[in-house]
Amino acid sequence: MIRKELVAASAEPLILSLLAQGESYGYAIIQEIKARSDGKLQWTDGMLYPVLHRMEHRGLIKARWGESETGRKRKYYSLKKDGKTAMAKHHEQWSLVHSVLAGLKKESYV
Amino acid sequence: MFNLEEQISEWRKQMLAAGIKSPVPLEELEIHLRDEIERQIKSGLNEQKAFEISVQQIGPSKALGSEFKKGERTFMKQTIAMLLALPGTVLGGGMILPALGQWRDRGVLHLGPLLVGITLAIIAGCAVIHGVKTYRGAQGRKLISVFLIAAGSFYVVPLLQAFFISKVDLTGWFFCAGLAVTSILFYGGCLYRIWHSPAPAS
Repeated sequence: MIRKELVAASAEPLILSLLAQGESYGYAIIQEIKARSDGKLQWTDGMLYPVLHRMEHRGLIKARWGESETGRKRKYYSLKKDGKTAMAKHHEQWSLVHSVLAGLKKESYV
Repeated sequence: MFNLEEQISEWRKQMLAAGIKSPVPLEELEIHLRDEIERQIKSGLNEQKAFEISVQQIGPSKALGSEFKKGERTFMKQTIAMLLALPGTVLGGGMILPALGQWRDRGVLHLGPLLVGITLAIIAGCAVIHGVKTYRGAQGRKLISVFLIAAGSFYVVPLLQAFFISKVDLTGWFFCAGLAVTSILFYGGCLYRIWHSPAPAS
């Protein structure tokens, strides 16, 4: 299981990257993250919503109410221009952390 | 006998008691809960077990309530900063401009009002910078833009008006022009910052 500090820090870049593929809603976002991480990235489901609302207030994403095929009401989120910029910045920073870690790991095996 | 709708209604009451507002975000959380219950039932659990697991997964009401309140607190801080900036700008400008006017017309420099005015303007400036750094969303961006234009014009427009309707005294106007240029740079810079960079992290 991944530490909760890392889970919290990765929430925003993961949400932005998922929404870059198309609009989605809270439940689907959680299921997608669980599936992609083989269940290792576990969020307390409800905690996703304060994060989504903060991102919406900051103008990174926008929301609209719609209906699913089953007729259930859903709040769909999609990426805004500022969100795309923020996502690019996140990718740059996480890539840097990853490359430093990978370099250090490689050196420690030499 | 387990009644799912009654249990969901009880869960809603707990969420409301924890300060989670209705309809948003409570409605969104309830939809999530129902989606999860449905999935658990499809996987073979009975209604009661599906409900218990789903409630556990969505998280405790108190922790959720405090997470939602975090966002509201940031918004309150920003509003307070803007409320401080408004009288600071008006009072500060209201002291600086007449003091400069008297210096220009009569050659008398009243340091007291000038210094108090500058202090108030600096406090207002700090509050504006805080607001610009922490603004939230498109609404916040528009609100702060209106404030910046209004505050900036409070310093700049009277100076431009006075410049065109009164005689030019180079000594006094040197400082007035400096104030106008500083205001344009400061408020213009703030406007540029909020329209050309992503919203800051909360």
